[in-house]
Amino acid sequence: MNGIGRSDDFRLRAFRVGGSKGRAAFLAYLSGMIDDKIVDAHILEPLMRHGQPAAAADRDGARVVAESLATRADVALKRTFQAALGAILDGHVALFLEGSDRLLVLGDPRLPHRSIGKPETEHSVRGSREGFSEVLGVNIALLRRRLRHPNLRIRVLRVGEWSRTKVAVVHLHGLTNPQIIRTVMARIKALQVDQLAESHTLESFLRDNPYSPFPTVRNTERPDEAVRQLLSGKVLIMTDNTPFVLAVPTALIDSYQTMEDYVFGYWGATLARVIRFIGWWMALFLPPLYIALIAVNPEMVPNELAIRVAGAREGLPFPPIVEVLIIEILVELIREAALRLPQPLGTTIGVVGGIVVGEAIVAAGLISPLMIIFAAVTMLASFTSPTLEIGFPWRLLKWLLILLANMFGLLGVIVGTAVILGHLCTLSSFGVPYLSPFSPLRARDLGDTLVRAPLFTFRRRPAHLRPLTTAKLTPYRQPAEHPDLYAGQRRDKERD
Amino acid sequence: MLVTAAMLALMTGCWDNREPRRRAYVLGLAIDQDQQDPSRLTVTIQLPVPYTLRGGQAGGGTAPDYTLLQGTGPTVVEAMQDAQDRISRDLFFGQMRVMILSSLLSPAQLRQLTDEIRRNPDVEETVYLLVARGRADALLGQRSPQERLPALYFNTVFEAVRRNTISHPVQVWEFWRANETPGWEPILPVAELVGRDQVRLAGLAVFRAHELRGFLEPEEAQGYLWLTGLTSMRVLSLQTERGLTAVRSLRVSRSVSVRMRGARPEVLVRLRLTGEVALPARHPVDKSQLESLERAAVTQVQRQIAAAVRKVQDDYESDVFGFGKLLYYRHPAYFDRVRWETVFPDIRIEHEVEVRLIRKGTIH
Repeated sequence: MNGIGRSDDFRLRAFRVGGSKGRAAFLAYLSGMIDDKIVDAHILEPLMRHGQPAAAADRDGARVVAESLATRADVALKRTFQAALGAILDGHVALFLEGSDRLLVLGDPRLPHRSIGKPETEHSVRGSREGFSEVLGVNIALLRRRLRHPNLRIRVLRVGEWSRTKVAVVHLHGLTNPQIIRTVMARIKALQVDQLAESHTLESFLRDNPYSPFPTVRNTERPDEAVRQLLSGKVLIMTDNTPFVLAVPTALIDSYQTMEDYVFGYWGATLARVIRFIGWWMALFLPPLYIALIAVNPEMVPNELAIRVAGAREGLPFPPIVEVLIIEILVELIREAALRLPQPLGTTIGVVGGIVVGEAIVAAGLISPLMIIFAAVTMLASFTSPTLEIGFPWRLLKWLLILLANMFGLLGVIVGTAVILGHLCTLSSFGVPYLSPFSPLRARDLGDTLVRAPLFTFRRRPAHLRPLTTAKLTPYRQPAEHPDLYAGQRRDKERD
Repeated sequence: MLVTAAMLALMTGCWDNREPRRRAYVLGLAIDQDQQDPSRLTVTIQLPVPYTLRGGQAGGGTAPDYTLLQGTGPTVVEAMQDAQDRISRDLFFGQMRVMILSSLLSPAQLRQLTDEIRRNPDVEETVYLLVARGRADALLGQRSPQERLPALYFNTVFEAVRRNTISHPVQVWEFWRANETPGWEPILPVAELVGRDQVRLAGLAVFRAHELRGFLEPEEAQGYLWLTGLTSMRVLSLQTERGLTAVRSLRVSRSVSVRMRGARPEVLVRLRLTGEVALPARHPVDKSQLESLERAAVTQVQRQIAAAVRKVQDDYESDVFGFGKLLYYRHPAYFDRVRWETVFPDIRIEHEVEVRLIRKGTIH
């Protein structure tokens, strides 16, 4: 066949429809991608045994097969050879019938896939245990199961010259702002690339500010999180072959909200948010402040602490900046090594790297114990960010602040922070300001930022995404009405 | 390699980047006249010894926790430089907590000194200023049983019981403020060595135009603090007709009115003390005893105030109350016309005192 050329997994199965005197036909398919049993039971058997009507119908043969013979749900009639070729490559079976002007495509992909597993990057204590898998169809089903509404709309596009990967753009009709959908579609359609290996490939082409270290596209592998994003007025972009689903537009605060925050009470969730904020602060500012306060501006430290620190640093060979450099590189080494090693060895690396090296380096008198405390706290704090992506820019910018702190002290840290803040203010994601709802300030949406207000106060969707409908919840009496437990007794008394 | 070299070049830092091991933290500074030549100045600098102040091991060692460093010179700047020449590390004044001035310094030396403090950007404006009766360096070398570093002794005293000591803590900026404001003169707390190993805060030193005019003894200092509303929790021992008693003031509210009567300014200070019975003559405390206690307390407070006013007006002729400043707010034309230091000793300073005891002294 000239469309596919010679490929050894390509199969042609010639047979006759309606017995030995019947019409000549053949099936074309790729061997690993279909289920033989289904082809046997639902195509070959009915066609060969009971195929007389199809054999009799002249040009309409394919239509007759589709209507009355192929006992499969997913069948389609195609006119062109190109269409059939695409279907074969997707794992369908094409039926060519002698003398028929259509050909029939029978949907039967048995693509290799794994079962639905736990989301690996976003753990949850109480939430759903399901994570997206690699198969687009399965992922869409996971979404559909959570949103049984006719307005859940899915548009499938193909991206990648060679990979021809399916990309589904998902939105809620009547809620998601159509301008966002239009822009997403346009940006995806404009993309000409060899292969769409991961949703990240797509992500890097979808950004408003491609050179910023900050993620302006949120990804998730949790279906419940994806649904939450959809309902706030975002567009989901699901890529075949990856469990990571993209959600746009994304503001900074989105990287700090997780599904976990909504399955616990608001006190607990608020506490978690505050802890995360403190974690962010410490991960970014502890090392620069250490340098600034120790080396450049010791007058800002309380008396006793300054003397204590001076005492602890007595006899150390390196200035604070070299110390920070050594320890931070060590921490990054441990992090990277733990990531690359097979799982069972990972913990060993943590112990060896963290405890042994840390202990030894202090005992050898190369680094002050104080620095070890700072490094450990900083590392812990840097892992409190709920999404992986938001950790990178802060880790990077920490170095900028460290450098500035070393040169200009507290002043450098403050100026550096102002520069970072300025950069954040210029960012946008599909036109949505990155710092919303803080800047521009939308006081009504602040309830779901640093704190997580009770769910019954979330009456409206976040305004910065400009959804078509903002109402989310009608006023609901809190607390709900109490049962009248004494009604029966009162009735008895009245009767007496 | 190149990147490392570039980074190291950037990281060497500039400006104020000094490692702690290259700095010597000045905790306290004492300024005296030189013992040989009174026209020269001696600075005594207290430095902690970092090795012995490491965390963990709690003292006990024989090594001292601090050293004293001295330098002399005709000016305070040169004396500092002389001290710097005698030490390996950079003297760092950012952590200085206390500065002790000798009462023997001449007005010119004092003027020069305050000027220098003001120009030195490293010296924080929150440093406590003290006057030592006699030489100041002895106070800086005096170890107290609680604090390992003598300079921190004053820091702790001033910060722990702010407003409750007989001595009012004054920081550099407060000293300047009073010094620079027309119609206001500064005071400083006075410290002295008692016995062999105690430092006591005793009274106040009164200044006028950089000149140490004299001291207010504890009773007078208390009167000053009442009148300026700077004190609240003080015990007053009272001799009443029923025996020796004591009350403790808890809150002081104060209103000052400065006005012109004819051609002369007049000050009226109304004080309202709220207090409790600390030691009654007899238990239970009835209404008549309460009233007699209140009356006795009023007399005592009035006596203290009168003593302070007399000393300040007649002997020192220095408006440490800041009444001139208040007058300037009300009658700027009059204030500009006269020389306040010549007018102040003759103005009338009236005071009305009211004492209310709200707690009778419960027994538990």
